[in-house]
Amino acid sequence: MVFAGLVIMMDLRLVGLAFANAPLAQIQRRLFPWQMASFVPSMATGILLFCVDPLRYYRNVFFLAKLVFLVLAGLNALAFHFKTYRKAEGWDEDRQITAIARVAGAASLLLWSLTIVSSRLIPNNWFK
Amino acid sequence: MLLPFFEWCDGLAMSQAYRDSTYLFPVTQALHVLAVTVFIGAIVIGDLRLLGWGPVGQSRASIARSAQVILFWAGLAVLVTGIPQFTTNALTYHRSWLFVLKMWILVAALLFTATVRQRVAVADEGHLSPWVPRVVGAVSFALWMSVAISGRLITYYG
Repeated sequence: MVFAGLVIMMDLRLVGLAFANAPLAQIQRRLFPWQMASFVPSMATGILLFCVDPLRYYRNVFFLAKLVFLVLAGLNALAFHFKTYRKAEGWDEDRQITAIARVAGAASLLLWSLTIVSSRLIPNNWFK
Repeated sequence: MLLPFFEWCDGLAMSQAYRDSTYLFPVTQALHVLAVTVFIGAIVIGDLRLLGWGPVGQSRASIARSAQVILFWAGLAVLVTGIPQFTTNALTYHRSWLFVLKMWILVAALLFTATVRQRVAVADEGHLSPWVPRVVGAVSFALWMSVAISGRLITYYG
């Protein structure tokens, strides 16, 4: 929750909805270690919960959906970091980069939201 | 003591509609968790800043002001999705010590955030001794994590 919460804060900055007086590159650099630090326990406890009863998740449509959204969100973040983030300094002045950042931020908001919602729906396997 | 209120909640038409529907309750619950995540994100970014970590390029007040807007809208969404969950199962929650605990911690967290945390966040930097914002950030983080964790545990330990 702390992990996704901090990612969403960054996304809101990327799309330009919040923290507007914090330069993009700077706030990205300073939030990133905290996002990673909270990602590790989130991932570790998630794998543990899965291993306790893997058959419970086998053929559960919401679990599969969650994994798909999770992978897509991860790919979006990787693409953003390795392609766009390289040119980080001077972002706020560069129109083209702020446009790409907006798209990446919006995609991330959508994908993480879908991950969270489908995750909470796992106990209700409506489409067997 | 509050039993008549809990019974009134249980008898609402909305509560009955939630009980009759297969989808309404789980979907509301999922949206509640999403809204809570956004809310907690806005809390944690402010707490990190109070602790002297995270977005230190901005002033405490600047981060707090921006986060406040997110807290308001996410908080509203948390409330709107939380209330029908409560009224639908009001009689179960009346017996749940964890639910009562969550509500008390929630009241404490809300009061602390609106008063002490708010004042410290917007106070002039250098006006306070450096440990004050750190303690406030740590207390806020502990309070809000307790609300979230006790909420999640209601499912398992009623």
